[in-house]
Order: sequence, then structure tokens, then C-alpha cells
Amino acid sequence: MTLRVRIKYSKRYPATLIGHLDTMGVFQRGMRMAGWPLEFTRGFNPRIKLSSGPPLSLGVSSNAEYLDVALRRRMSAYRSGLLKEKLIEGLEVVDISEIEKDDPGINTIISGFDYQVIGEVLEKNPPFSKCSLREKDGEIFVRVMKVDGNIANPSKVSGLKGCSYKKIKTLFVD
Amino acid sequence: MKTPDWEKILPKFQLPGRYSGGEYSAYPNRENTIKFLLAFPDDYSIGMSSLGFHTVGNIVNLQPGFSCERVFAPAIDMEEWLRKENYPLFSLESKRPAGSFDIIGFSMQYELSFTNFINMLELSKIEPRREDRQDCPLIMGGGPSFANPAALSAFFDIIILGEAEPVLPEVLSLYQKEKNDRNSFLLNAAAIEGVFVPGISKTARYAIFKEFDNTYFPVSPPQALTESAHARINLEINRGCRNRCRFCQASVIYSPYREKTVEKLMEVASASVASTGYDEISLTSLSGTDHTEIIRLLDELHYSFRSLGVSAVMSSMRPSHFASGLAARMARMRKGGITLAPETPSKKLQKVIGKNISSEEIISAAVEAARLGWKRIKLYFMIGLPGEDAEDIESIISFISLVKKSSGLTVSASISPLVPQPHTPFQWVSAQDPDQLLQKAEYIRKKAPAKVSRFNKGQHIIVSILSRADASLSELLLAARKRGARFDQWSEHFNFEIWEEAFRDIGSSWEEYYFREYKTSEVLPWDNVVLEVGRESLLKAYQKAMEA
Repeated sequence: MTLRVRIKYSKRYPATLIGHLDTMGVFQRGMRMAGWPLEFTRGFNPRIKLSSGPPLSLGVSSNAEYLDVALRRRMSAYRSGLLKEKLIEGLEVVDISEIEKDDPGINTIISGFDYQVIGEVLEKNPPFSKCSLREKDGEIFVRVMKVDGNIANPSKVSGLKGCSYKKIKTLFVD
Repeated sequence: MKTPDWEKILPKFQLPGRYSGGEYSAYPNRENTIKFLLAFPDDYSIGMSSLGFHTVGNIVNLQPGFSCERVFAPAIDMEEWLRKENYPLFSLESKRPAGSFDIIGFSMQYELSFTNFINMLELSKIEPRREDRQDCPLIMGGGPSFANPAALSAFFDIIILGEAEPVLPEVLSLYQKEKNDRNSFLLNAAAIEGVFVPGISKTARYAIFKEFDNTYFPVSPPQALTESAHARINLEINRGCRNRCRFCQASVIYSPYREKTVEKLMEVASASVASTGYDEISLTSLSGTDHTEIIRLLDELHYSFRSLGVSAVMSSMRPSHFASGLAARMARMRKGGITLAPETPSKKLQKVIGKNISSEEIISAAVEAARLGWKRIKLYFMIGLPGEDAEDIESIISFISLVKKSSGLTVSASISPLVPQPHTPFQWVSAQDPDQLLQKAEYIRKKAPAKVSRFNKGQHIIVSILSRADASLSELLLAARKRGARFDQWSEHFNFEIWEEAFRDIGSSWEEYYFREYKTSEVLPWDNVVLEVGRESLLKAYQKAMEA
């Protein structure tokens, strides 16, 4: 029996210093260490069946990242909780939930992100074709939506030069 | 000196994960301990995959009253930042300046990291030359580069010769007792077997770990988070080599041959799998298939870890073993390619190097590999051997063709020039003209039906010179560093012109050192290092090679 599990996690310094693939590597190792009943692909190079949401840029923190993983069977709450202890400083499991077999993958249902802009904004006249800007209580927020299946990096589209970002919200397809 | 806001600064560097620390099993930060900084003079990715490096870190952390942190050669962008900000090199764990540690222990493993070592001292604001230093951390060295300590001696306060396991704990205990009297510590340390104190020791024995099947295995070393493609468990199954190929230094300095029992290895493997989460176990050794119980080991590993999706890999093997049950067992592992090292197909040169692997053996191994589903084979050859002629070079080309034709495998070949190494029977021979070597390699590259990898002529020259260096070459290292040499192991950073100028700076030329031939009556710069394999047996093997 195959089971699908969705992990919601947060990423903060110093984990923000490792890239997306390496972060996936950490999760894979953490799940092995926690003894999760992982399902593997067939063949000479058995791989964990894992899919993630759009990659988070290096140096950017987030309180809501997602990944889906396939398991061979249901596991105990203890085993599931063990993953928290098997990650690295800055990576924190927020929630683990079972999803239905035919539920769409995480990448399909994410529609965009909200980022908070950190640092001084040097130029605020951007070509906002793929993103929108909003100010609240002196803070600047950027919303980046999915276009043609891709979600752009805010620094590439917003024209906010010299800024860094903090992802604060993940938006889902209704 | 203000502590930088690392969270803000580090993301600006390339692969910032290599400075962050906080990896799985990063070393604990313990207060009120003697602070040991374990330093690797090359990039994080290389140091972190070194078993020797982790073994030393493990020993230090097990030592009561000590704590170990790590530092690696900073990448170019970080080095530029350190120099611009006048900020000292810092440790990964606590981000403390290197110069504030009690001991800095450098893992010296290959010649082309020597300039990085000097650079790291400079970046730590520590004078490279021992005689120029005052009130500095104790600069300790260890690793295979000290098989010839002649050129490095000027920079180190104390050197651990040979395998650290039996020596380092005693040295650290002594340091704890005498940390307030450096001179007394060094004098007493010089009496420990396996310790060489420059300026005090005349000769020293190269240490060998007799209880090889014992612990000290770093079951959960800090694990790199970046470049996880290389991430795997390194399981050292044996040390030393039963064969005595005359060009090989490792088989001499790690002599005698020792192996771990299958029981011990399974214990270590299980603990490592549980504590690392890695899905690959690499069996590391000079010649893995020489392990007396390799088949049983591979079976145990396979059946124990298969359901966890963990598989074992082995890098190279002897073809005679491949023909037996081993091939079938390797066939169920992940298939990269198969790697064999015939060195030379010439019967005459096989006698010279003392490695007799018949061409038939290799061809039948290749045919068997193809039958079991492999697609690629990699062959290692050596050129520049004493007595080599044009016919011997031709034989490499025809041999590659034969392997390809009879097995149908895609062949790739690596051609490396002989580097005459200290403590080998070839320590007396003169190295071959590098231009000729390059011509030979290019000739093979053009003619052989295989992808043939190049070697870098300049790097070959410098490695050959530094390998048999005498004490005068410490000045060369300083001169090369002063002219900007660093990361010499990386062909994109290596600059031979710097080294040529450095030779001029010390009033010499590379040719003078490179073509040097030692007489058997001469005292060699590394004769003060006493090994298990004595000079007499090397001399005998040398004469045998010359007669062949």
C-alpha cells in the first residue's frame, strides 16, 4: 500500500545557506535516520519518491515550504515526530499530514508566494508584470504569481535592487 | 575587531554552506576545554570527504578536556573579503579567529595544497616560518605528506608521523600537562614514537596503528550539506596493500597490510547508516578486493541494507578477483563503470614496476563485465617508467583497442606520468622530461579508440619536485605563495608561471630540481623518517627494477 505524506517546514539561518537540492538531501537523510518506511523507485539506483514545491533561493528564509513523499505504510506518531530531531539547525518541521492517493502534487497546487522585502529599496519603479507590490506599516511586500508553470524569483522580476527577501506566505490554487 | 553579522554577509558568497557549520554531527562547542582547530588546506568539499581528516577530529573530540573545531581553505571570494576587511580566518563552529585557538592541526595530504596551508596561516595572521613566531597557537601537522617532512619542517612546531590513532592521544595528554611550557612540551613530545619535532628530533619512526580492527572509526563525522552528490559513508575495510608495486608510496607507508573483520565492519556500517542517513557505502581501501572476506562482506552489506535503499560501492579492483564470484556481486551494486589499473600492458615494464597483471586477465574481466551488464570501463595507465621505449607506448594503444574490440565496452583511459616518490624503490630515479611525457600522452590520446584524459604538465612538475623536496624548498613555497599561488590542485587556479618565477626568486630553476637523480650512496632528505619497510628492501627492489 502506498501512502502519501505532505511535510510543511520552515527554513531559517543557517539552513538558508544551503540550496534547494541540498535541502532535499537533508530531508532524505533525516527521513532515513528517523526510520520512515520510505518507498523507493525500482532499479539499480533506488531513490526516495519525493517532490517539492518551487525551490527557495539561497539566503531566503521561509515559514512555509512543502514537500510530498511516498511511504510504504502508515507510521506511528512517534516515528513521524522523530524527523524533527533528525534535521539541521534552521530547518523545522511545522506539520506532517497524510494526503489522498490521487490528490494533486504540491507543485501543482501552489499558485504564488508573498515575500517581505528586507533592506533598503533603491529603485521602486519596477516592470511589475508578474508581481505586485504593497506597503503596510512601512514594510514592503511583494506577491509573485505562477506564470506558465513557473514562479519567478522576486529579485529577478520586481526591480527592487539590492534587497533580500523573506518568504512569508505560500498561496494555493483555489 | 567587530563580529560580522554572518546571517547577512554569508549569503553573498559562493556556496555559503561551506562556512556555516551547523551540519549534521557538527562538533560540539564545549567551554573550558583546550581548543583544537582542525584545518584542511583545500576546499570544504575535499576536506569533508577525507576519512583521515574526520579520524583526527574524532580522536580530538574523544580526548577529555579538548574540543575540536574545523576550518578549510576559504574560497577566492571569501579570501578577498577577509583581506579587504582585515578580518582573520575563522572556525566553522564558533566562528572564532583561528589565531585564538590553542592548537591548529593541519591535515597535509598532497603537495598541491602546500601553498593553501601557508595562505591559511597568513590569513590567520600567523607567521608561516616557525622561527618568526611568538605567542602563537601550536602549529601541528599530520598526514601522508610528512612521509617527507623536509620542506614542511620550517613551518611546523610538531609533526605527527604516520597514522594518528596510536600517537595523537598521547601527544594531547602531554600538551594538557605542559601547556604552559611550550619548550618542555616539545622536548618531551619528541620522545614519543611517531612524533617529529623540527629542530629537536633527528630521526623518527613512522607510526602504524596496530589495533586496526579497534574503534576510533568516526561513525558520525560532521557531514557536508552542500554537494550532497558526493555524500556517502566511507567504510575503510583494510589499510595497506598486499602488493608492492614499485611506484606506489601508499603501499609502503601503510605497511603492514591490515584488515577489519566483517563483524566489525558491519557494526560500523550499521551505526553509520543510522547516524548519517546516507544511502551509499563506499568501501575505501588501496585494494578493496584483497580483503580476505570481501565476498561475505558484500553479501552481508547487500542483505542488511537492501530494504533501506542503501547500497555499497567499490571503486577499483584487481581483475583476477573480478573473474570469481565478485563480479556477480558487484553487478547488483549501482553501476557506474568498472575501473581497472593495468598500468602498462608491456611485459618488460610490468617487471620494472613489479605489478604483473596479464592482458588476458584484464580482457576476460572486461568481457565478463560486459556480460553482466556494464557499459563502461576505465583503465589506468602509467607512463614515464624507467626503461620505457616507443614500443611500450604503442602497446598501450593496441591494448585499449583489444579491450574495446573483445568486450564491446566503452573505454576511457587515464594516462598519468610516474612521480618518483620517497620511500619507494623509484625514489632514486630521475623523472622523465615533461615535454616528452606530454607528447606520449597526446600520441595515445590521438591514436587510442578511447576517451583519454589529459594530465597537467605544470602540476606534474611541481608535484614531482615537492614530493622529493629537500629543506631548501620551504623558501620556494614561501616565494610561490608570495606571488599568489593557491589552490594549485585546481587546474583553473594553478599557474605554472608563478612557480617558474618563484624558482628564480630562490636563485634556481625547476629543471634543477625536477631532473635530479639520487645516488644510492647519498643520504636522502627524507631518510630521517624510519619506516617499517627498510631502505635495504627498497634498494633491492630498485636494483631488480633496473635489471628488468
